[in-house]
Amino acid sequence: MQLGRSFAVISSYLILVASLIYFMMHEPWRYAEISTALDREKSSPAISEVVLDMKAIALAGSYTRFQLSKALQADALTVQRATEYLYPIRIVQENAPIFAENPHDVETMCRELIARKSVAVYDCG
Amino acid sequence: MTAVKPLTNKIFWWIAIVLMALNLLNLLAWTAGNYVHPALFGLTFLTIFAVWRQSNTWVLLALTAMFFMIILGSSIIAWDARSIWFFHGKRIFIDSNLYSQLDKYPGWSHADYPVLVPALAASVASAFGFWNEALPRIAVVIAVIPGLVLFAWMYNRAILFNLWSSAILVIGGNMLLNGYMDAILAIYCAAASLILIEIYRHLTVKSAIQEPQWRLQISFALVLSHILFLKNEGLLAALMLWICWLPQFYWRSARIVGSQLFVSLLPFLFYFFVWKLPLIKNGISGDTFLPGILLRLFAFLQNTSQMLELAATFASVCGIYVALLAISFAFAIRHRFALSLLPSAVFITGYWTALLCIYMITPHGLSWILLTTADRTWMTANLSVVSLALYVFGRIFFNDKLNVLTQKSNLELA
Repeated sequence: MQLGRSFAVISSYLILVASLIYFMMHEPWRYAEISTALDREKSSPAISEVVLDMKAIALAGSYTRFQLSKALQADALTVQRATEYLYPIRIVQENAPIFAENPHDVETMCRELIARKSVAVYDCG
Repeated sequence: MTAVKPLTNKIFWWIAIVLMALNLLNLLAWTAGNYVHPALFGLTFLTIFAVWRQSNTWVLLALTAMFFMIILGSSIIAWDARSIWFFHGKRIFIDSNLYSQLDKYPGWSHADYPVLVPALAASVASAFGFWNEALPRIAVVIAVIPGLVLFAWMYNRAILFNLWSSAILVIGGNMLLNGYMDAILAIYCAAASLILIEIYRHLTVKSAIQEPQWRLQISFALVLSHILFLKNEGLLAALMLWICWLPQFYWRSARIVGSQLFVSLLPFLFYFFVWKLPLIKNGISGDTFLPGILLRLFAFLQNTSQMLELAATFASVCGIYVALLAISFAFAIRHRFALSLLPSAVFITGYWTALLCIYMITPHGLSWILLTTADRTWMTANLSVVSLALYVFGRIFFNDKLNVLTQKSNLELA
């Protein structure tokens, strides 16, 4: 009986170790990234270049509110990422400069204010 | 493997209680723009070294170290984690206000969702002085650890705690650390189920009728508070657990009914005043119980393919756990302690059923909502089944008791 119990306990440790290895293998983490955890501007695969450029433009122009062009609004992922990554800069529906990836996405009378590689901001007021 | 001394186990209980109290205190502090420094959580957790001889201590430390490595070695990616939970956390941090999200910006971010983990994320960011893509997710570990320590207290045999920890890692999977609340909710509901079993196990012992069992009752109240503040489903789970907790008064001495009822209602009062009342004042409500429930229910009942789809999903996600519950119960009946498991089993089956009903009336497309949520929402009941099954396993194969009281229960002898 004692032998059986010891076997059960040892088995439970083996199961735990196997579960830990299984868990770690299925998590999207990289040892090399740990050293960047304390970086204020730590990069993330979740943030697209467009959204990074939006933030750079917003900071360069000290803007607090933006609109997104209709083409950008149609992309739910960009809307979501821009909203949360840019906060406290807000994405609004009207009366603010417009982000667009392509000049054709905004009206012809709009004036380009700042441009980055993947996105530019336009004043359509 | 020698039996664990109850005295040392009390340290696990104290650590769990203090950590849970700090979590709630942190919420309260953010209502005034302050926070509880995360170092306080760390220091409290490190008192676990007082019981360094226990294997559960080392398992806890290994799990915590692994969680930190994973969190610091990755960033927040999951959709709901970014758009809801950690966005709310970022808003609390930047605006220094627990209720920042109540301005409903943006419309899709579910302003009604409770903020236990977002507030912890805001505290972590405040401690470091900035918000980035990795550090705030430490909040998930701070939220999970008290639940794990509570199990280290209740499963006083290494084999049970090892198997339970394995079950969390396998069942929780990447939901455990990805910033969703479902796995954390599942851990606390499983803890509450186990506490219920222990409360009922001693109820027909004469001394236990007179004994308020404060350690169990305080644990239950704090666990309920966490369940309420983790996510909206927590309200349903907490109400069901509370209803399953109530029948104990059939056995209890009238002398202690009032005080115990008061303690059990504190989590609901705290939840109402700290979260629900501000929501009501700001006219914010959830989207599950939108008008037209009956119409949606009738439409569902007339649609055979949808009924089959729901049944098939339930069978694939929960089937094995339904079988495990039935087998555990059969063993418990054979060994004459099934009655003490009954309230937990009622909670588990009730929760499965309640979610089935919610899926029937969902205003979103059933196929889509099942595909995106079924495995994580039912995880709450499924993990509770595993806890119950391990309890039964411990009782039968090791003639084990949880460490709280030592009297032999009349319910078992009946």
